[in-house]
Amino acid sequence: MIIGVAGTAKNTGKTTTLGTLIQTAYARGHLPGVTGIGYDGEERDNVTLLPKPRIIVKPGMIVTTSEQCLSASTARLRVLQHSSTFTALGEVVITVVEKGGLVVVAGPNKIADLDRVARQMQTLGVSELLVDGSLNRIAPMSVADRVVFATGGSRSTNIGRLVEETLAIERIFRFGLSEEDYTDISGIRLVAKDVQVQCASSDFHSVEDIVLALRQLPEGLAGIVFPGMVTSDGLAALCVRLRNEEARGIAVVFDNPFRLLLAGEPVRVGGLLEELEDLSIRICYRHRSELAAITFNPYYPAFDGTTYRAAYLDAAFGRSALANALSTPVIDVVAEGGEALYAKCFGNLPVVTSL
Amino acid sequence: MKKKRILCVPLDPVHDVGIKIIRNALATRGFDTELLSPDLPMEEIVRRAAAGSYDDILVSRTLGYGVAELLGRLVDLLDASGVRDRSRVILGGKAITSELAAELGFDRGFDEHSHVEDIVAFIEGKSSRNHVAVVEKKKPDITAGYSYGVHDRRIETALDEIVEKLLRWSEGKSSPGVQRARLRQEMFSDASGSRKEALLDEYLSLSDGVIVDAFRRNVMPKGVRNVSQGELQALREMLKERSAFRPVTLRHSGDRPLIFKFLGSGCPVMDLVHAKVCERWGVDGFLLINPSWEARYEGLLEGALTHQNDGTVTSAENIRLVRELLEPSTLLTVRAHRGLNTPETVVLASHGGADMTKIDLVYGSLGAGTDPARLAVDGVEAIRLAARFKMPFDIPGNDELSGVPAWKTLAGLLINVHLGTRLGARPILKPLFCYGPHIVINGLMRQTFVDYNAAKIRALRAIVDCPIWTGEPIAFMTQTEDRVQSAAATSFHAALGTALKVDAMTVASTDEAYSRGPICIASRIDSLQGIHEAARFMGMAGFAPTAAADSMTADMHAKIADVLDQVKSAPDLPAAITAGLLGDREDGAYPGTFGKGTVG
Amino acid sequence: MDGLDVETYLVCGSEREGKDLALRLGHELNLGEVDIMFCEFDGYGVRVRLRKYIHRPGDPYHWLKGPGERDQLA
Repeated sequence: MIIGVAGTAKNTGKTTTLGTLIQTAYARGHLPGVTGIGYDGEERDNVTLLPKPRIIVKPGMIVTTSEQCLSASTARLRVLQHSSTFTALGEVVITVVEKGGLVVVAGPNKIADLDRVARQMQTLGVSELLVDGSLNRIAPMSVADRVVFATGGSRSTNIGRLVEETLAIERIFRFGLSEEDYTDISGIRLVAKDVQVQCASSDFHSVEDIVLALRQLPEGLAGIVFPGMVTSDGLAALCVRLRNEEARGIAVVFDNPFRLLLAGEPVRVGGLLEELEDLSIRICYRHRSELAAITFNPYYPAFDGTTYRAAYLDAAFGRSALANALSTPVIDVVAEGGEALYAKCFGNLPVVTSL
Repeated sequence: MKKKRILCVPLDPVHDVGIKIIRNALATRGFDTELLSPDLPMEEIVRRAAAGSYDDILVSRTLGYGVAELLGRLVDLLDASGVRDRSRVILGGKAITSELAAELGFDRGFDEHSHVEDIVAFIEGKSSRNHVAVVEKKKPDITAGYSYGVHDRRIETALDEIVEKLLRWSEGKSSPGVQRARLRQEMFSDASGSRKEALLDEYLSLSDGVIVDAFRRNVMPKGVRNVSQGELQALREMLKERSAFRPVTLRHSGDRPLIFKFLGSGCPVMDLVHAKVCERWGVDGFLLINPSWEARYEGLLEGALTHQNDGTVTSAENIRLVRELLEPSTLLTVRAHRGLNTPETVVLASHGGADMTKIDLVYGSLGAGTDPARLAVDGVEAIRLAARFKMPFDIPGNDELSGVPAWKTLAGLLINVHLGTRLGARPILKPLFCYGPHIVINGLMRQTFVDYNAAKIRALRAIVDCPIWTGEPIAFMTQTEDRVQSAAATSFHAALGTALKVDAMTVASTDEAYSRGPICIASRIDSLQGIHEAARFMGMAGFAPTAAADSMTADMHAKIADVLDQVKSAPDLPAAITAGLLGDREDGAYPGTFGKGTVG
Repeated sequence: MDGLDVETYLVCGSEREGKDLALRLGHELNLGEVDIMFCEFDGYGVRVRLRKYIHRPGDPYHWLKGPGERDQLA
């Protein structure tokens, strides 16, 4: 079970969320593994120079850090394995916590590497793995089974817009798995009753690629698979093409929800997907992750032109505005604690002994 | 090895100069590079990256509000598009740190101070430790490639005769200095230590009371004490933990001139930390300067010693300590030419691992106070030892500082060179770039400082094929206590030396004119910064001496020949010096008296 | 007349540490808020220059005395 903690922006409370999950898990006798897709543990924000929270780990936990950050941790860590994946701060090492304390979490920075490190940690006995996000980065989170999105004042100080965007995110995660197994496909694929047409084979589907691929649609078109990266402009082109075509009931398959989040602003992407749904098109994924919860952090760094200072939105109002609009649980971990979040992340699914 | 394909992405429409420079540098080195235009939307950049197959993608962007998120998204798009499975992503720009690059998910970050070499090293997969430039440096040999052939027949004839007479005169002569040097060698080769006491007894019988007291009664000369083991341990640990960060080279191109600095604060610990910092700021070698009182006493001390005044005590342990903690490629010279311990100093220098030494039979007795006969005997022996130990030695023309005209000083240098060549050693000419009394009185630099300095070098080059190392330091007597003036003076003289293609230069700090306290590290860096800037400015261009330089050169050459003819007519070199042929009372030069009557 | 610069070399382990030390030095010297004009880390320490403005343009200048004004320290 891999649980990702992603942020919609810097300073949305990702580290606090992660820390809360660790504390709550530990209090319940759990020792989740911890890794990350960037670098966290800095005392000061690299850009704003405001202090940041750091991550406390407990003895027995398996945690990744980078070689150069080993000595920066106050926890005593023993290196179990080198991962052979590298970051800007050196090789990622998998360690076990011998004495609890603060740790600098550093981990693999791309999809393939996170997948590999997660497997390595699994062989070392990690059954639940927490993946710390970094900034607003999300691509490697496609490896996760579940994801928590941290959002808040840092993403937008306009609560209306924040609600709109988070709703769009939620919708993107709603789509299900495709019925067919399209995992071996590498280019845009048109699936019809008797034939499959493969087009452009790069992993990035540009607008031109999409227009070219859809120029001639085969008879009995049943589905279109986009295994790679599609942008919101590409989605718009798709909408235009399919609007003029009789495309009821076909499936449009994307690789995973994170690809769509990356396609563009979630609100715009959400709108385009709605257009496709209005054409009775079924949107689905080759791989799914579950959106477990949203955490809300009212904090944001206010910039006065030369320096940053800490500022806060109305916490209760923001949280309830989000909670009212979304069906995903919205949690303010600082105000409410970690129990509900822990339950959404670790509970309600059969505890599997292997990932 | 197939050259890598590099995609250069200027994400910063305003600040794309840096990445263009890097792209050109990479292209020059044979990499297959492509530079995107700076106004492409992110999706287009990703499309291009995905369509090509690049080994490395360099992204350039200055940090600012919202930029981190922008870069995070780019990294994500590249990842989701499969680009990261085959390309590394590298971020460069102002204020980019490794921590930021790691947070953003890049494989590597470079800030605006990074050298192209660091980036190339990373791309080529080589070790990119910051001190790699220093560690991989080869130790230079200043004398390599020089034949020591004398081009001027008249001067060669004179030099042959002078050297011949000197060697005949010195044959069979010895001095306590020579004997002590031989004893030191025996002590060093007495591995078992069985002869130690006997040798030491003999040594001390030839030494001054001050030295005897130190050995026998542990009474050190005033202000001298042992460096404690604790201090040495702490120093070694400190230097083990640290290494040069982004070392600098002071040359525009090529491997000449080498830059030297003095060490001689009095404390080897302070000397060493200064030296390590100076190494990083571009210094290629150091001269260990000893206390002036050492010249007056027969015999040298033992042990890692610190001294409360100027000059670091000459001991095998001090030399060894400095050698141990300097980079292997850094050159170390030990000053041997003053006073009564010249040959012994060469022995200690060699034993301590120094690379070169300094011997001048003429200046040592005209300006530095040693009896000419004594220094001649000691000097010949010292040069023989230098030859045996394969240590080049420099000959400083400091006589000018008393008021001796340059041509007499240079004549003296040439005598030393010829003697050295004859004895199988490898000498180095060290004419001064100075504003000496004779020059001032005669207005020789009134129009420009360039001509007369150039004339010295040109005249020497016309006479002999020998390495030239200007000193000591350059800009001597042109500096005031004003830091900027002092750094500027050094920088201009350094630029001139470079333009004249000298092999090495000794440079001072901006504290040079300040005599009331030791030199501070910030002041050393001052002049190195100046030299660095001068090298950058001058590059491959040069100084253009005026037409006056030609007549100055011809005049210098002719006068040197005249002086040497006079010296050759003297019975021997000590007699010539005493007679004032290489500098007389009117010039401000007086033959020294230390060691008078000790030649036997 | 206008500013006070402090130029020195501080032994430290990183540029960040060097800047922190420099600012502390400014406080210890009772200079209050100082600006770090220059700071370069070389592996052993930082070469650093701090600046404290005593008189900025437009401030009352203590070296400019009107008729009858007494000498006063800042």
